[in-house]
Amino acid sequence: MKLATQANTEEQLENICEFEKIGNSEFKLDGFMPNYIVKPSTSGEVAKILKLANDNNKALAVIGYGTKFNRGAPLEKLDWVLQTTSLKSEPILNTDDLIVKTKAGVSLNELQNYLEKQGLFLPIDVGNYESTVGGLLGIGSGSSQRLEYVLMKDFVLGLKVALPDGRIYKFGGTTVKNVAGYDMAKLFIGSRGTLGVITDVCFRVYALPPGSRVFVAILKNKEDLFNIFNQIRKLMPAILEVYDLSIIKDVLKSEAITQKGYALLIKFTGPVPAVEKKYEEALEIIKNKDYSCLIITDVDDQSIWKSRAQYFEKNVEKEKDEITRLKIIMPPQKVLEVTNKVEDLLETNNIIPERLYMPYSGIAYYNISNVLSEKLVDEIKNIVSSKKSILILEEGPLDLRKVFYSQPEDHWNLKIKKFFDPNNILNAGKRP
Amino acid sequence: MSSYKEYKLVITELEKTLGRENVLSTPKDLIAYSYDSTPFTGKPFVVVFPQNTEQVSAIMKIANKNNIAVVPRGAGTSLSGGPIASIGGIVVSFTRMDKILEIDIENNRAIVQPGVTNLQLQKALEPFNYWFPPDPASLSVATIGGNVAENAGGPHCLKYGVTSNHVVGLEVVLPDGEIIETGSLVEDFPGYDLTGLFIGSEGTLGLITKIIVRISPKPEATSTILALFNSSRDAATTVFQIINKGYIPSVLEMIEETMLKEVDEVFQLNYPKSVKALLIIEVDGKKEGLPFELEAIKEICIKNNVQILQDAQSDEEREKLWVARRGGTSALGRLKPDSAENDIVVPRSKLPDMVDKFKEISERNNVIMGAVIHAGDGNCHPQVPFDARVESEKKAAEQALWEVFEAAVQLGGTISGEHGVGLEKIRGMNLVFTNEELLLMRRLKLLFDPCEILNADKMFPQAIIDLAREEK
Repeated sequence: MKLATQANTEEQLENICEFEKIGNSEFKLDGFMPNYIVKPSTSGEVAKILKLANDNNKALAVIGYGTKFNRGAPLEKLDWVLQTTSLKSEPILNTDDLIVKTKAGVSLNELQNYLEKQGLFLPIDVGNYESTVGGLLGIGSGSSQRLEYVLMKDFVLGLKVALPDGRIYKFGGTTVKNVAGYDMAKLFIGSRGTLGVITDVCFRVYALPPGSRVFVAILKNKEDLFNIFNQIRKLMPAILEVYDLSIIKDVLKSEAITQKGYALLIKFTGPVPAVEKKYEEALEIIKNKDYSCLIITDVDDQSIWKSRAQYFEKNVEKEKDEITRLKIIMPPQKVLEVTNKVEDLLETNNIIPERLYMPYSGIAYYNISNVLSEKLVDEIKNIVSSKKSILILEEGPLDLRKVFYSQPEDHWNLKIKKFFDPNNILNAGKRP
Repeated sequence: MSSYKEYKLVITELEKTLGRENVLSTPKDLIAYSYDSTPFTGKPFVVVFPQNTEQVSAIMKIANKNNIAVVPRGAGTSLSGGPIASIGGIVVSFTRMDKILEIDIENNRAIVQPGVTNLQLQKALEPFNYWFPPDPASLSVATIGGNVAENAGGPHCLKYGVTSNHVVGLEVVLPDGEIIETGSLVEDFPGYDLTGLFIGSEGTLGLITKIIVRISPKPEATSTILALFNSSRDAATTVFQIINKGYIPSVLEMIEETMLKEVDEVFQLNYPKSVKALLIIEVDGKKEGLPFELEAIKEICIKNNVQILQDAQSDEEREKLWVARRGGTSALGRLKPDSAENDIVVPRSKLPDMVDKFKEISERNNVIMGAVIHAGDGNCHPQVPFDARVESEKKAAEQALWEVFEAAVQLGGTISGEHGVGLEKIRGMNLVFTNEELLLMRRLKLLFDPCEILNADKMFPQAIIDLAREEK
């Protein structure tokens, strides 16, 4: 169906699903204002919208609540927004098999609340703002629990996806093992909505472990912290992360905490006696040497993860890209060296970042409230790449993101994109 | 390419590229590379043994230029016909790319060539008290390249995940000879998850020449119990109740009645006649936690009417408990000269129904059918012994295993959990995918392999292959 006029377009959209016309609104995505927001409520409607857009070369931005859209590589063009928040229905939980089937527009909050009633959970942290399941799949990142439960792609059993050809495809299924055909679902997880629109998902969910213990060691000295880290990692913790104290000071509610220093957050899970033994051994490590260390044991195992999730929501709070977030991925044993060098450089530029490290996975995040120059970002990139590591500009001002992502993409990424979305209508410009 | 002269020219070119010692082409040698662990056969016209990535790339360029079929091969332990040269061509054997390139304990990574066997890697990791958790039954000879190509599983996959959960990067030679790298030593590498796509692609998209795996510290201790039940349903219910209580055993294996009877007879285990199902349950981790975990699991067994519970107090006793599980396939296999099996998966809660189906299907088709089951994953290996010389027996075995596919899919499962589709399950692909889904996957294959030279007749029904070709 060709759309000749505006009236014709609206008539077509109306025939498919609910939509909203955008007038002089402030609603913008990566600086672009769309003409319409379409809100399909079934996978069939999503497929029809995609076909209509594809046939008429209309650029679509695919969003859930849009809380994580203005990040990474920016959009190149935009005509319509396809919002997935109407793709909803009660999740279908099978407690015997520990699987849940859900629509992509269901929010993570809703899903976790639903699972919690059954003593189950999905290992993804819930923050203050609504995020759809589909949006999180599009980003595909891990959570605080990636050490124990690995990444999102590892607990997705199956996906239903609508493609620009107007068809709906199912990949994977409802079983934990499945090697029939190509593992197509993997391509869509973390693809930032550039290949197709995920409409349904089947997750593997988890029962709460029989025992768990979470505690925090607060240290002023970074080298001490990494010494302790390297010993505790051998105890195979479920979570072992490093935060700036400012990130979790409200949660810890301890007067002894100052703004400076680091919190080494440790969580053990498993059978109760094993958890207690690991806890004892960890305490021994921390107390054994002459570390200037404060141990906080009464940590609320719920609110601390929410607080952590808020670290990644700073720009949502401010409704502008005021915070620049850098992510460095590196070999785990290089975290101390690389972060020291990057932080020295930032310090000489009078920049004090808010830090969150996942040293076990070789990941460091920096939330920076200053404006970063292109030159400084380049300097950081040079430090990082000299250590076989990669700098990613996760969030930040549009202009900086435009420059940062101006290099051409890997040619196989481009081929994959073209294969699924030959007219480049889906989240054009975004990168997986 | 069809004439002897043309074949000879290609063999000469391959010999020049790889050295004569790395090329086999005598009829006797070719026969040795015509088999895997299935009844399928197919003779290549040449077998080559590259020793590095550049040689693999050169082989692919020669094959591409001459439009010759290429079949990658590890140790040939495939249970789906993956390494069979069913349409002839070149078999690329990776057994001489067998180096462990790097073990980096500090960063939990190892880099291996594809011909390294799973056991070779496990042994190399042992001094560090580390391991690579995927452990297919064939691990003593199966190669890591083959494990990756098939996304192999094994008994420990319930707790530790399958191969794809432990591979973070690959080097791949594409059919035109291009060498690409997917993923990386570091986590969260940007880009589409091509590593995920290549894992389990059964050598149809590219030849894997280097693998970066995530390695893990070995669990401190392991405890094993054996539980015997008078009903498969009780055993299967025990399985999902254990997991639902938050316990994830490292092993949760089941043997159903028919196989159990044969094992009992062969190994003289003297199980009571009333016993219909056996569970082997292992827990691992910090030694202080094991008794706690085992007690909770035993309680669940007791609630589900377990008849006999045995603990292993030593490694020797542990091995005894494993006798039935390890010997199951051969005990059942001894009944007939040939044997066929598959590896369907059903949701865990459907295991009792699936076990009932095995009985129903075997009776209907007048065959013997027993099964070992990775119960925690719902992954069953039904096995049908038969005599291939008797056509009716062969057909009955095929029909029975086809009905197992159908039953598994009807129960919400799928046709393969860890062996792959290969040649064996092509017909079953229509049970789990629509034609549109199959066509999309075939088009994706053509994106990587436009000349259709790489395992081109595997995985897809012929009608889909033809349709995709017509579109080109």
